[in-house]
Amino acid sequence: MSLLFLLLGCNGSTKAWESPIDPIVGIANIDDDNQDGKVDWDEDLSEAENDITSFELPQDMKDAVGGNNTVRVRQNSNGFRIYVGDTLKSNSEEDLFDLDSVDSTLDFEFESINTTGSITLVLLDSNGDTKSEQEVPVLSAPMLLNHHLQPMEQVYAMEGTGFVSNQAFIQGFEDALGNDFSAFDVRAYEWDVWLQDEIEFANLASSGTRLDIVIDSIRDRGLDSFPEEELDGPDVWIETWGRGMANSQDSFGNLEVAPPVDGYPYGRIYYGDWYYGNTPDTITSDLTDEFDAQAAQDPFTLDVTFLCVGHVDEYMTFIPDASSPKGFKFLLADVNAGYAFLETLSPSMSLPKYANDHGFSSVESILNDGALRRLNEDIQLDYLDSTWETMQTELGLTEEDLIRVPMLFEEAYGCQGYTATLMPSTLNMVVATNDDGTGADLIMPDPYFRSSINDQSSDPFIEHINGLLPTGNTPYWIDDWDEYHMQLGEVHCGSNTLRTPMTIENEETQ
Amino acid sequence: MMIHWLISIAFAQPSTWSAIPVCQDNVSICETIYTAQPKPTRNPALLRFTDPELSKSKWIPLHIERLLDSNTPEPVQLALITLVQQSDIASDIDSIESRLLPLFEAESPELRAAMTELLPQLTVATQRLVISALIQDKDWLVRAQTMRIVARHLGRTHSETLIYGLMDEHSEVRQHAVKGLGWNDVVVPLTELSPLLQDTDPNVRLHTLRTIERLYPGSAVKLRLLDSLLDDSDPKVQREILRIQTAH
Repeated sequence: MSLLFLLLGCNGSTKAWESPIDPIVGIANIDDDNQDGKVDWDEDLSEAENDITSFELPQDMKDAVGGNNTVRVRQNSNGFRIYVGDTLKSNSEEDLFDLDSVDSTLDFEFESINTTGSITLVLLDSNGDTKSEQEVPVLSAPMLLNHHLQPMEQVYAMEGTGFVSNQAFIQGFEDALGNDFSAFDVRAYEWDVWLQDEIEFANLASSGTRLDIVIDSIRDRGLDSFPEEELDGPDVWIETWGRGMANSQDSFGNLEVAPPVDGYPYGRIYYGDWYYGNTPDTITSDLTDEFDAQAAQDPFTLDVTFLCVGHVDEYMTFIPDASSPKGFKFLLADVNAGYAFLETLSPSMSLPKYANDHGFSSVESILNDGALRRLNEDIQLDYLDSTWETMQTELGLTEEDLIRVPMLFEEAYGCQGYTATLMPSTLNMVVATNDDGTGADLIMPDPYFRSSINDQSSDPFIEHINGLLPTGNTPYWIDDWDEYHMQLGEVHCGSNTLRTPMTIENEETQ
Repeated sequence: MMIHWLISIAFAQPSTWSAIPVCQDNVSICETIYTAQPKPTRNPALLRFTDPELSKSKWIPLHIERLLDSNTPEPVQLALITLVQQSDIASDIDSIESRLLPLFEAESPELRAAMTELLPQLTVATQRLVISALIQDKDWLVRAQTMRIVARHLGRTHSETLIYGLMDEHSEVRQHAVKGLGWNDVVVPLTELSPLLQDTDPNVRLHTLRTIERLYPGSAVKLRLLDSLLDDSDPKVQREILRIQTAH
């Protein structure tokens, strides 16, 4: 962001205020810190308020003021308020006031996200004449969506028995993450387990302030009331963009963020378009317009028309890699790698899980299915290769940033030819990143690609994938077969992850 | 939808299934199975049963009775088809086939289209009989789904169906047909394929190019079949041309 620093009206011998001042960056006061049911911006400051951004004159400016001079503050735009102590001094364009002391602290309160404006600091001599003035940009932090290199704070999933019976899934998360995992009763939410699809975590953050945003999808299935029931509170803002009939692409498994790359210090948003004819189903335009306005995470799209569900999280992800120059690896489903892996196995190896639910009793039965191979070749040519080309173009990735993950796709039962992964998709994982972002606990769906269902240690697919993972990442393989995989989702689809925000530092806005 | 389910449950009379052998000693279990409800998958338009018990082969006759029950809502019928599709019905195929046949003539085109998923489990003779009717269906969705299933699962056995589909009036049928020929290595004369390079649907043009390359590697370049497509406006067609040119 380019800034204009104006140094106007210097007179006499004073060389004051020649040093530029960093922009004042805060966060929108749109939550309800005192939990009185009102948005904080719409009421007086409360004791619980913590979304105020403080600003003091830099020392060199203070030094230049001198004993007989005063500092005047002029607000140049709407959308924020300025307090000194508990006193409201200014709240709209053209308001101005004089500081009682150069040591006074200015407290800024912002009305909304994406506010851009400025104040002008004017140095007046004892006669009230302007000696110097400087315009200082005033910004509220944009809404930033989280990416996988941000530390995990908590992982959530839905738990049930009976109609939804996923105890092994829940236990797998608990074993991997301990207290960093929370489960909620799925019975209260119409047995809707697809927590990834209902909400997307984002945040507003600047130095010393934080507000978590829960973007509530227009999907509105059983989990519709989940954000308000389970996540609302101080320092949380729940908001929905868009309305009306949702399509599958409005679910937030179809909304992900790539880690930071050159030119994009906060990463980039990507989501899938699903074409029938020339017009794609995609995320509601009210939300994509918001992303476009935010600009910092400049979004791009991928063609997901080959998938029955049609979400980007079904076939790609990003994981930390401290040894990589970019700090991450991009994992992408690859059917050539899938067949290459199968060719290493004994053809007669039985696959009881696949026999029961996918009609393939052995490795050989998959390899000998010529039409399946051609279907997968088509997906590689028409979609996976295109995805990789897009990622190279949009993110500047190179072959060394890529891990091709063995995977096959199959036409999903009842889905008129559209596909899902044949094996539980390894890509559809939870990336529970550690505090310094150098590695993660990776919670992945048990592929059951073995003869002995209960002996995970004998699974060659698990062994192969474990060998592909960068050092610093710890794999956990949990059961999701009946309640997720066979219902066209996996581990990532059935969970959501709260992460430590990226902070908009003043210097980063320049 | 909930109202339909409730009606379905209310009308689930044991008389419709009590004669099934597996139910004679298990009335209460059969009632539970018969009234089980599918739930939406991650794709909200697609319902499936989640209880693994229901996919056991012994319950197939019960599922088929429910499938035939006129009070069963269509979304439940579609989920039942998926259950049957996942099951091994070979041991009792004769009786099951005869029960299923009327559903291929159901009034709803969506149901007829969904029934095509069961074609691979029928005997070849019955497949031939049913397919011959389905490819004449007045609804394009039924014809397209028939062609898709043949392409994916039955291309070697019913290759004549794929060839027939090349001339269907609906492009989605043509697309599945030409794709299926390449998927199953069904060699047809180039003269039957090359007209589809001028198809109005870019997906048909794309898959015709790919099928020609699969069946006759290099011939599209040698015979200059690409020439007429060099100005094709579709990026996927252009990409395929480039791929073929690079390979040769």
